[in-house]
Amino acid sequence: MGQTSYFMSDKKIPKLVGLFFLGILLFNFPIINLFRKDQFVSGFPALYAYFFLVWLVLIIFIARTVRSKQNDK
Amino acid sequence: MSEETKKVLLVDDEPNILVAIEFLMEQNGFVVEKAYNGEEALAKAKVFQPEIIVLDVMMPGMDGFEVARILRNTPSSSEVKIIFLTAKGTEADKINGYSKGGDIYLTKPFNNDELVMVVSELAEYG
Amino acid sequence: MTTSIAVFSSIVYILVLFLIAYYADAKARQGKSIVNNPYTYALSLAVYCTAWTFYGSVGKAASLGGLTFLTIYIGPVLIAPLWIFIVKKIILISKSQRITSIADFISSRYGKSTTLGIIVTLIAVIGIIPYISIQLKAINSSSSILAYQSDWLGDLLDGSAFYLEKAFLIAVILTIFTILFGARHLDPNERHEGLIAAIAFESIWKLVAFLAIGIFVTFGVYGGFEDLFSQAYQDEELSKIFSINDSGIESWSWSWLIILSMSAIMLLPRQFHVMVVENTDPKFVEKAAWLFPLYLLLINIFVIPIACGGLLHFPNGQVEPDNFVLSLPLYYGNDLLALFVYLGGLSAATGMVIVAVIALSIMISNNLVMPVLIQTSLIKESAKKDLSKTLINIRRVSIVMVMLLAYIYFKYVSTEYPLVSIGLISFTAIAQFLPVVIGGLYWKNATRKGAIAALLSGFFIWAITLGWPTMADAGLFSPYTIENGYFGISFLKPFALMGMDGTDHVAHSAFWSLLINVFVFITVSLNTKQRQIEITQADLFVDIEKYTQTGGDFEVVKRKAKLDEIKELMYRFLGRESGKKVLKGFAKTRKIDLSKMENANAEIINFAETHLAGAIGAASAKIVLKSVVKEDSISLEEMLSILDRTQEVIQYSKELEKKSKELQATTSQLKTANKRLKALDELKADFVTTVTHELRTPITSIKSLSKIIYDNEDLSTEKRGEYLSIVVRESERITRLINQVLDLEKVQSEAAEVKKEKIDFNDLVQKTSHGLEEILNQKGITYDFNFPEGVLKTLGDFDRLTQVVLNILSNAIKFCDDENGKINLSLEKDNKMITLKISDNGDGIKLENQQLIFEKFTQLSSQKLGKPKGSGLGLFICKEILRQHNGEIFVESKEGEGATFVIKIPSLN
Repeated sequence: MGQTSYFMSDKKIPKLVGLFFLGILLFNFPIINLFRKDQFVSGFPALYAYFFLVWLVLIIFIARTVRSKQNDK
Repeated sequence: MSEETKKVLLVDDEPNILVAIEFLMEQNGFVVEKAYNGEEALAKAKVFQPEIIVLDVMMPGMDGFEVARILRNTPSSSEVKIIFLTAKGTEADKINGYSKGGDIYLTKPFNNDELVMVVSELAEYG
Repeated sequence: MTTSIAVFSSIVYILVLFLIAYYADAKARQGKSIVNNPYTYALSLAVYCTAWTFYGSVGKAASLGGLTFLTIYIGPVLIAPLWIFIVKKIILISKSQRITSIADFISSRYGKSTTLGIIVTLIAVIGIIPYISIQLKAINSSSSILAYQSDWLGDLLDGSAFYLEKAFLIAVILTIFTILFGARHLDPNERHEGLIAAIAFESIWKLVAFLAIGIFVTFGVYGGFEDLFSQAYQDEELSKIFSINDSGIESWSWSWLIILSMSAIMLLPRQFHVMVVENTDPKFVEKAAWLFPLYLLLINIFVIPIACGGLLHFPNGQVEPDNFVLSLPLYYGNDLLALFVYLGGLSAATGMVIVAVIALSIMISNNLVMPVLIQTSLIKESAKKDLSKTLINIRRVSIVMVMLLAYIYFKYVSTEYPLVSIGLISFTAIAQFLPVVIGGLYWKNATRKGAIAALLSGFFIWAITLGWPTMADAGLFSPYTIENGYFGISFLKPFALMGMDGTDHVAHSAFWSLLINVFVFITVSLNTKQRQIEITQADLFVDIEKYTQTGGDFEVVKRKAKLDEIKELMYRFLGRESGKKVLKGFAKTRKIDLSKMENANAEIINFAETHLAGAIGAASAKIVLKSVVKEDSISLEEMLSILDRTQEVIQYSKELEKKSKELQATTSQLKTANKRLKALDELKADFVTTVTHELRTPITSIKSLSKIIYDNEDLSTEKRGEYLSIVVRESERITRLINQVLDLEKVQSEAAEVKKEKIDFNDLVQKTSHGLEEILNQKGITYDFNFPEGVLKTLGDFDRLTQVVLNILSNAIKFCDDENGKINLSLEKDNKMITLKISDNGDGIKLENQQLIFEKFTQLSSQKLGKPKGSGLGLFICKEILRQHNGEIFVESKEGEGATFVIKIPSLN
């Protein structure tokens, strides 16, 4: 393992920054304000469900971006 | 004091110098053998078994210091008296000569009487 | 549950922690690290989740902050993808510079500034103390709730003596454990594998405990999420918990809280410690970037259900929402689960306290106390003492001090506020580091003065908008200012600066402090100049990628020091044993023998500095080393940095380079000349010795033999004749020598003009060589002389040229093979030159000597002749004579294959 591999390839950085801004967008007003307290999604309050769903999706995206290392090289 | 005649080996690469020393030694009752370089000197020393060796320092091939070192390390000749005779005459050369196993250090040109006296004394008293 | 059981379980739990730490340390010493993997690393980051998460999230949600509590976890999740290059960069920089704390990091970046180290440390200590205090509060209240049946121990602890007060005892026990975990011995890298193992274990425990209580409430007490949520929804008031609008938080505050938590996850001293200092491999960050958000998701998923459950069961506020987590299982008589959950809360609290206090103690000792000790004469007085003991004691005292302050804050402020509010005060203080850290990583022009001004102004705003008013609010000071503003000026109200009323206090403070902070940082940086060391450090931080790729040469300073002094310093600050070990390792990897070195080179000094920086902080290490290291006024790295920036300097340095090259050339010329002079001097001395020897030898024979003739009148005529002839011959020998020396003088003196007449060179060579034939025959040397037909005309001095030919031929006779001597002579002529070649079949002349033999006084000793015959002047004289005739002489030879002397002289047509 060379020391250079400590850094991500340049291709990845825009992806990661993109994820960062996507998260900021999804986890902020006004989007989160769209959910009303009387909305339910299969028994879960809509906002509650939304938060954890987006959260999970972000985790999967981060994991996929990090793991796609071999393809970059 | 032993009655038998003493043997002297003369070593020098200059034959003309040897002619002079040989005369002086024989005149004073020594049995003389001559050698013209280091190797010859070592060979003659073994056979001739001299009590005294007059040894030139600057010789082609093996120099006088080396001859002296080998003689001192050979049991049969470790006790032999060595007189260095050399054209190198500085104090440093003298000290170097004594450290190389010489008993006496004489510089060229030498004084005939001095050489004879030194050899006789060494022969008699060691 | 009785007090005894609660107390006993807590102690057993902490002992288990300690055993884990001990085991991990032992494994680490065997080289089998159990923490060197990305999972342990991600779990250690979960030290972020404290009692605040464990009890406070439910508390915040149940006080109908609704989902606001999530901001604290959304921030870290959002920034996690950026870790992969930001945190990695910080780690690489920190490893290369042996940075051991956030204070060290900021101080290092801005020119290893002592001042910045002190400022960051003070902000961190002041900022984190409230945070530690809420952990005490959580342990205190949770243990009270758990131990609802007071027994003898409970009675004892409720006694009036302060040292028997529970919170105080908790503080004492935590202090002891913190010292045991983090300040038992001094590690130059500040790596504590045992601690990390224990923290990872705690992270698992608190997660499992929280999931357990979540599952218990959701599926045990209620019939699953749907049942729980629909019941909660029945209650008009309670249903607000599912909404953002009803929580009263505005988008403004929401965003600021996320920004605060983003900075906290990286910059809180304990987070920096586990994330950067304890990191064993920068690649772990990649996995942690999604594992840690996953951990946060899991630990948050049941917060709302538990809050709903709590509110449904304790609707009238008889139980403080912060305590729902523990009160619910107790309410249902599940004491065992309650104990398990309580220990989960304990693990969350202890993990935070231990790591935070260790991180703070490192900062206090390295960035606050050491610089002061070093600059006052305290260190000098104990000159020869092993200072590693002093250092470890400073650490211990720091730990005690921090815990004491946290306890005092708990006693007088924390009790008045819910957990989350206090925690956010800390977050806002720590967020002041964000601009200088991010600027430090990506903006080369950020200056030390800019950083100092930014931190001081940001922290000042924090102090007047959050720190101080919170204490005033708690009743420590008069609430006058809160109502009327500082100095009675209404737009200086602590919670409504510039009339910005009605916002959340934390968001309000975060906005103003960070605004001023960033503004000051940029303005001052743009208007101040960096010192040289700042430029260097800025380059090393911002361009760390470049430096790691070029092979890790981080510093190229021209520094010199005595190795012994460097060693002594390392022994003093690292301890003799560990100092020796470290140096030994260094010598081994670099394959150098330190025992043979007198002076430490730049590499050793850098190594020492980074190691000392690990022990006492970058700024202190710099100061300490300064006492023994001599630094060149302009170091290479500074030169390079300056080159990068100013054209002017580039020009200047080019001139410098030129000058220095010129100087170098002159120096080397002088050196060569000096060498020649010395060699000539030696040659001259040799010459005198040789001439003396050569004179003494014939004189010896002459003197001795003439004395014999004189003393012995009765000598036979024969002998007398023989001796006399020797005397004559030896006298002639002396005459020859004297003539040669005189010849030399003649040849060399410019006044002696060569008389040039037309001569026949063919005739000259023939006459000379024929004269030698008798000797050649005597010695049994075969010879082959080839002369051309006719006349070879040239201009020259007949005698001199004869001398040359004679000399070369005599040499050939002297040096040719003893038994089968062979000499060839050839003479020829082309257009312009006459060439005479004389070759022998002797030993030949080594290539390196082929020039030398024509120099004055040079004699080669040969195996055959031993001591050189002659004066060493012959060939020099030949060369001089030919030079005067516009000719040349040189030799062609291979060792062992004889030599050919070539003489060239211009022909006359």
